[in-house]
Amino acid sequence: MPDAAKAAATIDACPVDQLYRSHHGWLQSWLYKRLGSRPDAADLAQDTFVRVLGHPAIVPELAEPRAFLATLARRVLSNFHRRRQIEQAYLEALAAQPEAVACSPEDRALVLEALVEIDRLLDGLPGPVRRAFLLSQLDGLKQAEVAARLGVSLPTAKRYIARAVQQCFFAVSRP
Amino acid sequence: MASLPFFAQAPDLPDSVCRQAAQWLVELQAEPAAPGIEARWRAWRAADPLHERAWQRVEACLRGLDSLPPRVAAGALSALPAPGRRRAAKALAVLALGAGSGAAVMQTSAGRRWRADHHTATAQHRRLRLADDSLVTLDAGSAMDVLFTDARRRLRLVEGEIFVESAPDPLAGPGRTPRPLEVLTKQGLVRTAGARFSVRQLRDSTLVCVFNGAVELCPAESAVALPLHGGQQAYFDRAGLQRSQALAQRAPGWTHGMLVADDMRLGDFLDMLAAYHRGGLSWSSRVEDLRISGTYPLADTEAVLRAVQALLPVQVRGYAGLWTRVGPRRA
Repeated sequence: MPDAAKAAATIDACPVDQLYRSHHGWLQSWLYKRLGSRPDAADLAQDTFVRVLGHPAIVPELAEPRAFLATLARRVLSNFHRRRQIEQAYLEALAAQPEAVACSPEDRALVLEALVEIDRLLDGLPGPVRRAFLLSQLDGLKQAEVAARLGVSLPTAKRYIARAVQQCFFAVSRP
Repeated sequence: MASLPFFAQAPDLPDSVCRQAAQWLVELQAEPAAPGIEARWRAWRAADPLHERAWQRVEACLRGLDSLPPRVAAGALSALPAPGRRRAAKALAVLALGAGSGAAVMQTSAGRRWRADHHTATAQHRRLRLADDSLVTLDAGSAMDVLFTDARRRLRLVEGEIFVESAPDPLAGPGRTPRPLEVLTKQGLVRTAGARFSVRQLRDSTLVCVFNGAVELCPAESAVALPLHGGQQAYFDRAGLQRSQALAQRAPGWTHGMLVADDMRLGDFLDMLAAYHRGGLSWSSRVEDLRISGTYPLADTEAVLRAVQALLPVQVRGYAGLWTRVGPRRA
């Protein structure tokens, strides 16, 4: 077989490429139904395939490729919604400040990025544990103040903070 | 704004060590602090390189959090409902863990410092004579590798500052050109045929001071080598020269116990001071671009911090007298 034909055959046989060709259109309309926006659907379909590239090895073994894609896309979608919520809450918190907070668009984007990341790292922790972390490490409240805000004892507040710090600072980052 | 460390992979450390580091942070932040906690915390850090690595991670994360606007950031995240079940994708997340989880471990500066050929601890200097008879003095909290071959005389500065008094190349002779003495940093190369000079690795740049002789600066992404002569100092990054200015001293201030700053970024200043400060010293990214000048005694870092607070709009806050944080002064 000439080299060029061999290369073409290799590309054709690339399982991710095949998955993309066969299901990209389907995935985009699946997302469109849930988002109501074509540009967003196109972006998230792209994000979903980027995630597929993260584990190409399992692609050839997929019995139900669309179920697999939908699982990934649900995660992408849930992150997308969560991000919107955080952005909204962030803008509201900014607006609620007594004096204007000088903040360039670049800074704002970086802060938003950080908030999304922290939110993700705190994922799975109970509400009070999350709040204990935010109050003590972001707001700089004393531990006794955190305990009072949460209506728990000081040792409990400390235990909450330690648990959240451990998860947030040492969690292995997930894409 | 400093980039946040969360995006970087967390070091791969045993759960028990991570839990202990988190508990130490909580104990150090407690007010009032438990008596004797400083000694116990130091002992814990010293007991195991893994402990030190975990602690470095804690400090890096604190610096990252500190760059966020306090009330706004916490307000935004507290206002949200706790995230719903995102467990559905857990299996996928586990799949993603495999790649690179150990890779970041040795990149923490403390880890790198221990692996270096030569390093110094807090408030400690070290003077070395190299194979070519050049003299190198390591400032406190510094680390360097010696990478000499027949073709070149190269030092790699990993962290901190070195003061180099170069000797002529002993291998030079008829028909053999002398090898320049080189210092490699994260931003590029400093090269000399003969000089007394110092090189400091700052967080995002390299500071070079030339006391006698001359050196060439070769920023990593620049095709041009920049000459620097005795009585000059310069900051450069990977792209090129940031600024240069006159230098009055004849040797680095720290070799006679002083920190000499001439319109220096406060972040860089605190970085140098931290190498002499017993106990933790961290600062907010909101103050690190303030400028400071003056000559300060390294033997009394507490006094230096008091002076900094008197000079600049910053607030120095001690946590139980063992861990100090420099932040913006609140109105």
